[in-house]
Amino acid sequence: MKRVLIVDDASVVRLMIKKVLKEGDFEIAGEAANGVDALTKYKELRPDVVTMDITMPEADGIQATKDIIAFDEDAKVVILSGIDQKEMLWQAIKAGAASYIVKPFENDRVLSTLNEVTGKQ
Amino acid sequence: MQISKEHLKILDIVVKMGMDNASRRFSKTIRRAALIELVKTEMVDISEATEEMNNDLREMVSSMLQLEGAFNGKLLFMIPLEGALSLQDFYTGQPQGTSKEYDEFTEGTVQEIGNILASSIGNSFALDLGSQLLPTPPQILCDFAGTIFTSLIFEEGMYNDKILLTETKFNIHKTEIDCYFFLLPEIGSLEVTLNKLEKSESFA
Repeated sequence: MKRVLIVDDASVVRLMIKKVLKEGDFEIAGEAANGVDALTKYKELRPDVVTMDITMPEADGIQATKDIIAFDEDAKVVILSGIDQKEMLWQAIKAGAASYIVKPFENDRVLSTLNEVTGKQ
Repeated sequence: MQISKEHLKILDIVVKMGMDNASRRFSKTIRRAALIELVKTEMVDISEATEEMNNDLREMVSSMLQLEGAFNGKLLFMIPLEGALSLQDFYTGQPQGTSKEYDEFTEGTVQEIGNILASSIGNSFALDLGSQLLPTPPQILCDFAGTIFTSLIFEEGMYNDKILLTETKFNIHKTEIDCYFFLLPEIGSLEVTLNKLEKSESFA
């Protein structure tokens, strides 16, 4: 079972993502509520994939993605953000994100993206 | 501090489109019909607006954040505690009336609604005006309406008598949830952006 680290500063969003992942047979490796904690948890838990919000305190999701990729160049980070602006999509890609999903998300879209990114059948 | 009628109209239209976008996104999130309507965009007297807020003695939960980019500004979403608990049940998929007290999920619900509103307006500006507009992480407060509103207009109140406010109304799942949504753009930076837009269109 593939393990996921959920990073979002809103507790209800983490709860919603957890429900979706459980439906899709993913294991919740852990949760983080800001970009700094995301890197700490990544190092500690070594998940197969990270779902990453962008607008967060301490460090935003773009910086956290850069930090995680700098630590592990094979890390898989999928951005889940309400920001639907080309410039931000470009920044996410440059930071090393594997994919970008705009919130509110379709459950199937999240699961299919995570399956694809992790190579899960 | 002044804003032209034309610029007020442009702001009104772009915010309206942002609210339409927010309504769709919000409906999709809670899987219920939700309509967020823009009631008005206008210059208001700070003392009158503060007095109105001070007269509302209900306990409120609010999300306040900054917008940065095309213009600088502040955004405040404020909802009575009982309305926030009702929205929390929609969000967490529980029967209405389940949530009774303010907790981290109430906070998270109001935080996420603030994010939806802010990013919808930002996305609308990016799409329609070609300018990036991004929200900062929100600050969540649980207090009386007047206290929260005062923290929103504190800086502006030191320098100006009037502020530009947009006000909206929420209708969710056949229930009108009485809440406040204020967008407080910094007039100087907004005028610069809208002037640029006018000039670029006149050269096109």
